[in-house]
Amino acid sequence: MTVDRAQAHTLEGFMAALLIVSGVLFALDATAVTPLSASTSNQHIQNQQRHVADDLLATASANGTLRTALVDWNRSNDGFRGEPDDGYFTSGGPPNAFGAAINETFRDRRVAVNVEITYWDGSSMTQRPIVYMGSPSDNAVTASRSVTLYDDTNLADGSTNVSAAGATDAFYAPDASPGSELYTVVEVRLTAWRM
Amino acid sequence: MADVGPDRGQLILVTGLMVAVAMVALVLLLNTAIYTENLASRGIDQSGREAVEFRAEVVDGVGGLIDEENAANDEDYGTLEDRVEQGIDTIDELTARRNAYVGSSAAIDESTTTLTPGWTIRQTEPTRSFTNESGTADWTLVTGVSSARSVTITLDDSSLVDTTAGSARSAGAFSVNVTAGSSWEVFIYDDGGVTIAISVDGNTPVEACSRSEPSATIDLTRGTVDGDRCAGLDWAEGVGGGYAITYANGTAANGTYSITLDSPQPEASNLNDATSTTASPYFAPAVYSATLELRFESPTVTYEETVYVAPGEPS
Repeated sequence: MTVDRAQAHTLEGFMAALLIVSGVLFALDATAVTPLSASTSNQHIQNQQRHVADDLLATASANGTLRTALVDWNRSNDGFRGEPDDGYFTSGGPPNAFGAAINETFRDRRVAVNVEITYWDGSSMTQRPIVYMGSPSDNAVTASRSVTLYDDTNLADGSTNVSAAGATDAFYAPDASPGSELYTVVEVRLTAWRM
Repeated sequence: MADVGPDRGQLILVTGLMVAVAMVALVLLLNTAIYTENLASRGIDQSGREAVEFRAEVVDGVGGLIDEENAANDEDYGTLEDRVEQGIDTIDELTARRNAYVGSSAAIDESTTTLTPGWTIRQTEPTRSFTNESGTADWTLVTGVSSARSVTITLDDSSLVDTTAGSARSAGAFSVNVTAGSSWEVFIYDDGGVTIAISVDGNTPVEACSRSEPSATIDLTRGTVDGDRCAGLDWAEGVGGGYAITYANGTAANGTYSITLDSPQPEASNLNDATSTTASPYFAPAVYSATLELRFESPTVTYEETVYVAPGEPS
């Protein structure tokens, strides 16, 4: 072994060590890029919101506030009670118990909500928004629930029943089953996402 | 000496580089494994939820439909059955369309839907007392009942006898009696509001619950007063099958009531027949229960069940 190669060998050893140490440092600093790293929402929050939305609809359906909200219809304005001219609420839920629950559960916790209903309009299924707070983000969750309306379900203001209102075209949905006491089945779909 | 000589080609450097590259590749591999596991375990608890919701929606919808049709119909059973079947048809169609939009199939099998016929006894005039059609205070509504559901009474306390639980029987308070050998009696009287006391087998009545509002709706089979559960109100507790339902002191209460039972026909001598007149109190044919076959299919779940719908039946 020639003596003047010794320094080159040392340098080589240092370079190799440096390379390995840099590699280790890089490896330790690299964090797993997972769906949990999304910026505006993460998977656990989405799951939680889906459960909350489901439970909100289940509770509202069980204590009757969902049915009341669906028949909270103003016949003279041809819209839901308190509805702005656009045709849907934009700053929160409707002015009834169901709307108050939405506001308390979602809007006040900075979670935006869209509520729309789907019903049979005589020839096909149509959708109508009740609450529209914007276009949902990629991390939005939905929950839905169906409510059955009967011919003698009274409108929320007590003026008349759904069948009489529908007969004069003063209700959003027509009678889907004229030969029985069933009026129609309305599905409520709630979409929630973090603002 | 194990010296590989001057053209060993920077072996140490190259080895170091290889180790570093191997470490980076390992990091990439581990990251992919974590990402895949996270992605694969998302939303695992969703399966089954839609099927259960479909079942609940059908049971609620058909149950409500049966009760509404029973209340609205006082004609023959054939017309009533047709109307209920049409309603179930509509529920099936609308549910199927809605679920089709989200890629699942939900259906009620029309060909196997069976409706059990029964009877309903009703009083719809709220100011009338609980006497029979000719005004007798103690009378039998029906004998030999195998099962009854949705026994609801709505009354206000101005018409009730003012007494306490212990003396309800002697003071002549209104009572609903279920008898089949042993007896189960419900006394309804005024003790600071509408109050209910239960007497099992002729013993002294024991107070179950009371309301301070002037009027109340009591559901004897569901065991609720104005929607709130009343502990101790268990329909026909201790009484076997084939019982008779009688009213005692019917003059001591004014209001409306409705009873749905499966068999036999109520006492025509004490009640008006709805086919001739619907003056209170009357009896009419009714649908007692429905048995439906449900089927729900989605990419992750296949669900089939036979459901029994009888709203308000005591469990």
